[in-house]
Amino acid sequence: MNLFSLPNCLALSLTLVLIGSYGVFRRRSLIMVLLSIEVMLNGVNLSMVSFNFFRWGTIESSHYLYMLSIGVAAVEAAVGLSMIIVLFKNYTDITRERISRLNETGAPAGDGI
Amino acid sequence: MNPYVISQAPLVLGFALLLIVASFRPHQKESLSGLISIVALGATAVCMWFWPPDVTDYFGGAIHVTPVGRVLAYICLALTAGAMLLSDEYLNKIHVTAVDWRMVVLAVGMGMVNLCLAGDLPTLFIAYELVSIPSYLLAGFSHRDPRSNEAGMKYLLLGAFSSVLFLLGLSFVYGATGETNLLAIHDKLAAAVSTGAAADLVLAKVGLALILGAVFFKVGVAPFHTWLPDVYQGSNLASLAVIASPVKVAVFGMLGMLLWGAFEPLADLWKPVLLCGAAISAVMGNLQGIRQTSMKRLVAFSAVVNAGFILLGIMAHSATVVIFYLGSYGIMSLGTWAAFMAMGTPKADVDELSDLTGLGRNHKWLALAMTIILLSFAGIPLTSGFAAKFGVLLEALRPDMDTPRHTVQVLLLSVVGGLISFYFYFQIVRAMWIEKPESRGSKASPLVPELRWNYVFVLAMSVVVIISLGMFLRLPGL
Repeated sequence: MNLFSLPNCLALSLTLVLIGSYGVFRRRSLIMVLLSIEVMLNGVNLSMVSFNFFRWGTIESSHYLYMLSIGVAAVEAAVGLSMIIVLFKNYTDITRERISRLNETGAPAGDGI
Repeated sequence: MNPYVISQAPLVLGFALLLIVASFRPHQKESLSGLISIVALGATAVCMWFWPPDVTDYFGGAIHVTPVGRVLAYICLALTAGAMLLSDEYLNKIHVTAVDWRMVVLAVGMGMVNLCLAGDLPTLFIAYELVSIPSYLLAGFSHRDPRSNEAGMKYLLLGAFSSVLFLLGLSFVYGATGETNLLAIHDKLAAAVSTGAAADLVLAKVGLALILGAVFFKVGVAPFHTWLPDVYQGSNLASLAVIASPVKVAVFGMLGMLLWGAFEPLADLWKPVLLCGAAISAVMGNLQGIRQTSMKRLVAFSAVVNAGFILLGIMAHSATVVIFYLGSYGIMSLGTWAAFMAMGTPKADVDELSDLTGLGRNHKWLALAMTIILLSFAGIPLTSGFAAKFGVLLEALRPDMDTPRHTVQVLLLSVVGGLISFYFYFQIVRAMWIEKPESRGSKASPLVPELRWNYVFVLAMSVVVIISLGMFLRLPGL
């Protein structure tokens, strides 16, 4: 039995996306949330590469998309980390639920980011 | 030389020049950078004007220029230039270095132009991110203000999450068709629909659903709109003039062109989804909007309501109506932010509804301009807001179109929603004109330091455009 097939690779990539999205919504530290987004992006990249390898191997077009997305992920991480640094300067904390000053007027503090 | 490259050169050169200005004159108070960036945006528009008039492809289809995309790109450039014009004094007031802000906005501008012209998946993705990532920065730009930090971080996390879903959707579409060019994707999907290739269709539909979800998230269509009011509340007004006006135009335009172009064979899937989005936006936006007393949050919910109408226009498959709606919405929201910037005191912005009490007594012209913009948002006849909404409804009811079931009910819901939204727009009008400053026990009406020429200019432009579009322009079918 060959485990190296399109369904298995897609299952792996979707698992990564799901693990990442769990992290995005459940982790408390903002750095862990950024890491979860990276995990999701890598899952997506894996799906692109596996589509290319198993189905449309003659064209390289998806590889461009995949390389571009790695670059974009790096940019996103850079912006995110710099924002975390600024947040830490102002709040001295990067836990999600403690950063909650935006809410309707008069209502108690929001649920955080 | 390639006309596309020439048209993008001013934006890149402008960015480089701003970088030089930033390193040699890194002061807050300088207006050279404003001049450079407005000239760059204008030069790009002029270069695009000289493109060949018919549909053209550049770089083997990576850039696909259509008349619709060009018009949307002009609208985006004009609104961005308006936001640049507004920012001058305001950026000093909130202690933001103007050069840095303008560099980021130029990057957004380039992303928006390319989003309207994208012809294949990599270009589309890069342009989408070039719009998104600087928008996160803009939301968090006043870095000394903790609320702005929170808004930026919230926008970044949710935006990045939605970008990943968008990319996953693009990957599935690629997996189903094996093409990255949008025209080729259209042909492959049409072939798959006619031959009934089930596996490919399922993949493509999952991909389309992911793309729709991601874009709904990005533009704040209910039920994915919960982050929108928080981000609006935390961001500064100058950044909002960019992320709430031209960026919306570009992303909605991209959604429309993507659905009418590449995904046209899958209309059976996306039409009901858009209809659902429109219905939920009309209900949620209005019901949550009437409770708000913060102006920025109120405008955010009004954006949700308007997003619902734009979705109806996209569903009706009518480019004219969508362009008209987007142009009118863009200029209305730019005018709103201009008015809010003009109202602020030297220390703070206006935000609460009670801050506006008695504005009509002290500053008639400002209150009048704001009233006209609000009437247009509410959709009173003779304004562009009415013409746009009416056009959307007419197009959605066009008899020759196979609309999904329950279209009429959703249209009725939107109209009722529009009537409810009268309440929250007229609340502002009432505060400005009718209520006396003492009656709410609040301080006197907000001090307007002086109406600077750039606020007056943008406000006057938006009022003129709103009235002239509403009175003189006849939509096809109207």
